[in-house]
Amino acid sequence: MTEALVLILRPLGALGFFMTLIPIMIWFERKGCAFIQDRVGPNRAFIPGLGLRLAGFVHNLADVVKLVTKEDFIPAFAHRGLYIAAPMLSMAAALLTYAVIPFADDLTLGSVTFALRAVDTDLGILFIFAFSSLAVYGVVLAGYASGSKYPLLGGIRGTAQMISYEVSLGLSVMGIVLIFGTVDLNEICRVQGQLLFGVVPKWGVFLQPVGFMLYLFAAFAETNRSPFDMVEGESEIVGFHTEYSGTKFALFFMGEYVAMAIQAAVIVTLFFGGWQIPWLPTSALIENASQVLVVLLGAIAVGALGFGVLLLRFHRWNKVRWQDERKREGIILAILLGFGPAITALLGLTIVLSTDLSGSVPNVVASVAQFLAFSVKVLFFCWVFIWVRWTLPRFRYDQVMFLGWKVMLPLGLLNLVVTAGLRLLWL
Amino acid sequence: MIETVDQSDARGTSSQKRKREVVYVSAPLDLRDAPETFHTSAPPRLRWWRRPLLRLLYVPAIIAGMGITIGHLLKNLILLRQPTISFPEIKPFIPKRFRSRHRLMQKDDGSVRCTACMCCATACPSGCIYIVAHEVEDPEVEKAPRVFDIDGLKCVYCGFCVEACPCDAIRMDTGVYPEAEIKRGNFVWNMDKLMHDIPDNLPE
Amino acid sequence: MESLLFWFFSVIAVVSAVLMVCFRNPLMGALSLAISFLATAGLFALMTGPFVAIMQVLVYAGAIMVLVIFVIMLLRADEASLDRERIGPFRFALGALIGLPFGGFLLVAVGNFGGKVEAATSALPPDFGSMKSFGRMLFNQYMYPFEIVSILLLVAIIGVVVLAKRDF
Repeated sequence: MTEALVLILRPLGALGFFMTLIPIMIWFERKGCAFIQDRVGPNRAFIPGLGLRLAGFVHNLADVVKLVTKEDFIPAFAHRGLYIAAPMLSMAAALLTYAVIPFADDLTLGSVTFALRAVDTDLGILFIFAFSSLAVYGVVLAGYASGSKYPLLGGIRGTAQMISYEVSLGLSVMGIVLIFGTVDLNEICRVQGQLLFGVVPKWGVFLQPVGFMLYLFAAFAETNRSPFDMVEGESEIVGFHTEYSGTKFALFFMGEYVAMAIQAAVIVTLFFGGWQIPWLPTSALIENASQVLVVLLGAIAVGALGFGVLLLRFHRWNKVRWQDERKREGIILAILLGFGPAITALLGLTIVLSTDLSGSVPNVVASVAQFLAFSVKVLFFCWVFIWVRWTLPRFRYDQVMFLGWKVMLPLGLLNLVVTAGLRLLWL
Repeated sequence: MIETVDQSDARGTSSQKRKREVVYVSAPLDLRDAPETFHTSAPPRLRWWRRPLLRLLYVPAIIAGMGITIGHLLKNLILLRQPTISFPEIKPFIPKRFRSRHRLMQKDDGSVRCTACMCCATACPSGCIYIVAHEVEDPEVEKAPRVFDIDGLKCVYCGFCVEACPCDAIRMDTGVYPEAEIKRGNFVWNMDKLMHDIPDNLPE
Repeated sequence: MESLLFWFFSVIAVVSAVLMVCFRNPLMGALSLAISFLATAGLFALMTGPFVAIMQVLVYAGAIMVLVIFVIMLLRADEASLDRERIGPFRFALGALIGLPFGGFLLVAVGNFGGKVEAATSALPPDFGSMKSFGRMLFNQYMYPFEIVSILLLVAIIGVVVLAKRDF
């Protein structure tokens, strides 16, 4: 019974994690770019009656309503079947890859031990590469099926870029595979819990700095994010989904964000220790579960308090601006999201301090702590994707190709050869 | 043209702070043929991410740029001092002489001061003023507008009508500017709106 | 469940392979071939060969077919610009003549399996089809064929570079 439940819940949980990241990333994107550009950002959409705007978060809801209710338009010269299939392929290819990313170390509940990822397989990186390489089909077919010149050109441009950077993407990971001796992501995470020279955690960045840089750039190119924004190029060049609107466009859009979230998760898993909390291996977490819980709850309390104070500042800002129900929003949110959680966490803290953890509770606590570490890292890298987009201008197309084939490919080969040599010498 | 920076000390400016002087000379095709006066000083000290070797890697410049953007983000997140004005709730400051929506002046008895002389309609470059005149009893003016419409969508707010008016009947000092409307017709302001739908305490 | 999946994948593989020959639009043909490859990957995965399955997806569906489609799109082969192909009796006979030996060969090969499949699956080592055993076999037992194939690929790469550098 438990096993069947686990079998169903694991993929759903992983899917839920990455789908939740989409609105968060869109919000990051809008609010972050606004603040970078000294603007305020979206803050108009609000839930009628409540007046809550959640600092622009409600705009996501408005977007959904807009995109779903839009006319489902198919151009006259489009190839109907492929036109409909392309966005589905794009989203499906992006969503298939989440299956092998581990969220925490293996969890033991009573007598059952299971890995906290969607699919139990040791294919790891290969699985991710295999299914993310299918994402090209979405771009190609959208360009072809639109029956229009500009999407066709955009599709060809995008395909050439994605094919070129897949090579560097694969090559840059080879060094990591050589060092850790496995492609299984969970295994790679476990190895990264060891210490390098007894001080630094044995993370991929410290062992493979060049490989990390190459992977980061290639990941930007592979997910079609700025500065390699050749595929879409919303402001200057016409992209492959020009002829798309409504829900189909939304699928492309969401596919891009899912791909980005998954690339962030892969970067974290390969180069930043995945679910590892630095200097705290899983066994230590389980042994000191109550201390871990205390620290966690304390951190939540402090963080929520700080967030509440920040929201109060927003409240003061709102109060002078609006004379309707929105002027109370800041204080409501400060209580709901800031002071409420802080008090709850403190209450939990007192309960934890007075009781003794037993059974499989310490294991769960360890898994939750590792999951939180993983989420924080993933969110940071999602933010890096957005941060870079709003910092750097777009490359010209020939520069993209030059960088891909003449800089990154030789560097990746060199990195591979040097890593292999060092590995031979020191093993 | 080539921009050169002359920093020679020959003019006795050595004791003062060196003055950067930009000299424009017509460019010789080849730099080797440059005249003696054409020389550049030592290259300026470059910031660390602009040094040739590091610049090749792109990465230091990228990191420097990302530092700038995150600086802006943190500053705005903590201080909340963006210059954005939340427009419909908070109106921007309108200077006193801003050419805003027109108003028609009234006489002491409340009738319109305009005499329908058509000067404004003639002066208007966009042809947005539409006047129909009729006779009035008052022997001084003899004429007054029966219809005085201004099409706000055609108007370019040049203020020529105000300049042209011989009896100071039309002014553009209300400080009101048109906001969104549902229908185009709502932008045609009739005489009643131009006379009465204006803020109080405007100068007579 | 397994036989259901087997039938699912095999029907897709066979149907899309037939469609690949039948489509006049080259892009649709290439796409059907890609779908056929994916279905074959599913069959490999059913036969406890996850590494081969993932390689099938990665190399054939993800790289080779994408390149093929890319070239088709660059050439812009519309249906209108293609010649009408006529399948006369002579061509059909020629095709059958070429295809028959292959078909016979396949029939014999499959027939030889007979009832051995059941016995074979039960006697598999536990790490059969995993990446480690695959690599070990490739670099020990089949070292020379592997190296020869890689030299062939190298020759192809050099040939492409030479052809691309030539002034026409």
